[in-house]
Amino acid sequence: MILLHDSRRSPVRTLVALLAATLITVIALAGQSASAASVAGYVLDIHGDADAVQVVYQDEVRPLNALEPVYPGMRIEVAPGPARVTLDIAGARHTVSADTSPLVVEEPGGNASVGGNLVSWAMSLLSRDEDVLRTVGAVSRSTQHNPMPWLPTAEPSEMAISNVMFFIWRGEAPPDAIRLYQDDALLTDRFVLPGLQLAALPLPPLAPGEYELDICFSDTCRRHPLVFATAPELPPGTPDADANDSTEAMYQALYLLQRGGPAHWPTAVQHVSRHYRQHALAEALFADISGR
Amino acid sequence: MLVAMLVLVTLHVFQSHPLLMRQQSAGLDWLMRMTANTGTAEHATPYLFIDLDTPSWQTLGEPLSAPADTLALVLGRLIDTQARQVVVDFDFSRRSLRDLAPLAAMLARWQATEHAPPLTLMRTLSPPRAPDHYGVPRDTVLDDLLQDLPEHGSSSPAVWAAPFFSLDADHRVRRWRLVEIVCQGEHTALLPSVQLVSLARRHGQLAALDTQLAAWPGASCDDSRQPALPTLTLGGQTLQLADGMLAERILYTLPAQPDDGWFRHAHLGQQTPFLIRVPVQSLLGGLLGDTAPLGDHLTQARTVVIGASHVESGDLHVTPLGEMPGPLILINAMHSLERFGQISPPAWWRTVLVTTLLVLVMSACLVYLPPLAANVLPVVVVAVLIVPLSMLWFRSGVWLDFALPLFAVAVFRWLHRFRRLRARHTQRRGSHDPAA
Repeated sequence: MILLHDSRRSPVRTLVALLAATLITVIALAGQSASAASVAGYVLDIHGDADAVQVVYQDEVRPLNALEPVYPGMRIEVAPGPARVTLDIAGARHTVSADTSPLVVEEPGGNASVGGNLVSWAMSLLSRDEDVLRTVGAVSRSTQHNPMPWLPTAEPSEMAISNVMFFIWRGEAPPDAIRLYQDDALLTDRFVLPGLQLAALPLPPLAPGEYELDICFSDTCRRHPLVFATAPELPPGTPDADANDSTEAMYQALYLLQRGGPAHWPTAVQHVSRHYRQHALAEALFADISGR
Repeated sequence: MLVAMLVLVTLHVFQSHPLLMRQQSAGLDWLMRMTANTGTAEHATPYLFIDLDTPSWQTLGEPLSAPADTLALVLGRLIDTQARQVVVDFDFSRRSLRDLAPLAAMLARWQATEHAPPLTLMRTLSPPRAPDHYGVPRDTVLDDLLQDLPEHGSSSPAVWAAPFFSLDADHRVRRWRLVEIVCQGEHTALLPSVQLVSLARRHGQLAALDTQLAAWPGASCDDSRQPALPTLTLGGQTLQLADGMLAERILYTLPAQPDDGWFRHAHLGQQTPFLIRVPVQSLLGGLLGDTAPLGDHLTQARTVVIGASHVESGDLHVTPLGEMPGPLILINAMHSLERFGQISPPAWWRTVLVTTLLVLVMSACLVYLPPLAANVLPVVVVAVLIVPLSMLWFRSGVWLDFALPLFAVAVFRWLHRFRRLRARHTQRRGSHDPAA
């Protein structure tokens, strides 16, 4: 039994508190309501002609200003044209344009309550998100001491010269070191972790040629031969890909992962890492590669 | 009753065992989730989070590190405000002066402005050379600039603070590190955390904090045995830096993305969100290049935190309230330390009182009730009385652990069942004994 935060109450008062607790908790569960003078939200952005956005409030018509507070009862009007305004009202983004104008700001709901959180938690037990989270946890526990970088271990990989190289691995423990060498001369080792199970190594300007990557998880380091080329040779039948077209890049990544062999997996990983936030197929491939 | 008391006392004595610690941790996580974003905090400092979120980051061309000119522009809109303090949650080490020139210029303006809000900047560490060694603070090109600031007594001192938190085995951020032992030259010293600096500022005791930390004797950086960490006193709060795991828990109250926004509280005569989150791109003024100070409705008497939450910030972490960007963890930590203080074990009489009550209930159930009811009722008592009590007290920073009593009831039930079976077995053997 642990009571935290000693508040120096007497035993008698504690007993009274024990008896009253359930009743008060029921009241607490009913939630609390915000007073009528609530700020409903804020103006985040006004795009286009600022004069086209007006607010009608308390019988006054005036232009709306960026970052000003909005109150219940305000009527936001946007004149015909490209102008639009983005509002944050009670944590939700609302964009008002000429098509959706006018917007009348409503009274914000009451504060969250324990009862609401309890229902939300109970519902989350059934939701898919929660299942996914648990799966990731299990994977991280089972593989955190044996992470697997998605790089070939023996044969050299050929890659296009770029300004950054991405790495995906299984398990949540990130690599301790990623170093790029050429002829045993260290070129760079300053990597960043832009996302879960994703590392990025910014590269200096590279000339085509042979390099070596050193990747360390805890005390285990492995060296991987790597060939950087201006136009790497891809297996026959590989779909072409424009670096800026996420769909084409994903088709190429999928092909390389399925039929390219380990020497071409790093190229696929680059495509997946670049686009996994924007493209559903990339997101699925990222989840598959990282073992989520 | 003796057995019940023995079970509870045994569990209490071994409560720091990993098995029980995990149960307690899960119980506290659950309670945080239940009470997240509820209640009010009239006397606590509200926050403004200026967020380099994904759309803002994409607007800026997806830079690898936060552009100094953007940060300078954001700081420029805060310099003449009445914010309680400004926390800049970016790492400026390993960046050149050429890269940070706009920011350096802004900081020079900051220190020349008499009533600029106090500033907190992040000090990161080079990893220790060995497991029993200590990190070395990384220099930044801004150090020389900020060295000229008067250390105390100024209205706008800039302070370097540590933004480090401990990861649990399941990679969740549950614990803060109030101070960081760092290696300076050949000697160790204490670097305060962001939340500790924030608390000291809240009570106007930054100088007192500095004095107390400087009084720590330290030792050689190669010495694995360092002096005991001190006990700090700030604004009537006593902070045990050397205390155990319990004192390091952050009581999270502000989730990353609440369904209906963050809770409202009375501030400057209005009901306003306790936490306001504004994307950086809203401050860049669109095409207008707005550089006017931010309004009082956003900044006055608030702690402003400038940080990143975009997808490639590398600063997204898992917490008991779900995935959260680093700046929001800082906000939760500052709020937790200010509002709830440092968690400490209960007074002994409280433990004895509640334990005795629970033992009485369990014993009475087993003596006076049929077996089914005797098994169910103690669980119901814990669920109906102790869990709601936990929720109620949690709002004022008091945690009545319900995981341990539930575990105790289960153990006690197993023991009781075992004793009944043994008694039945003995009775059966007695009835088959021809000598009987």
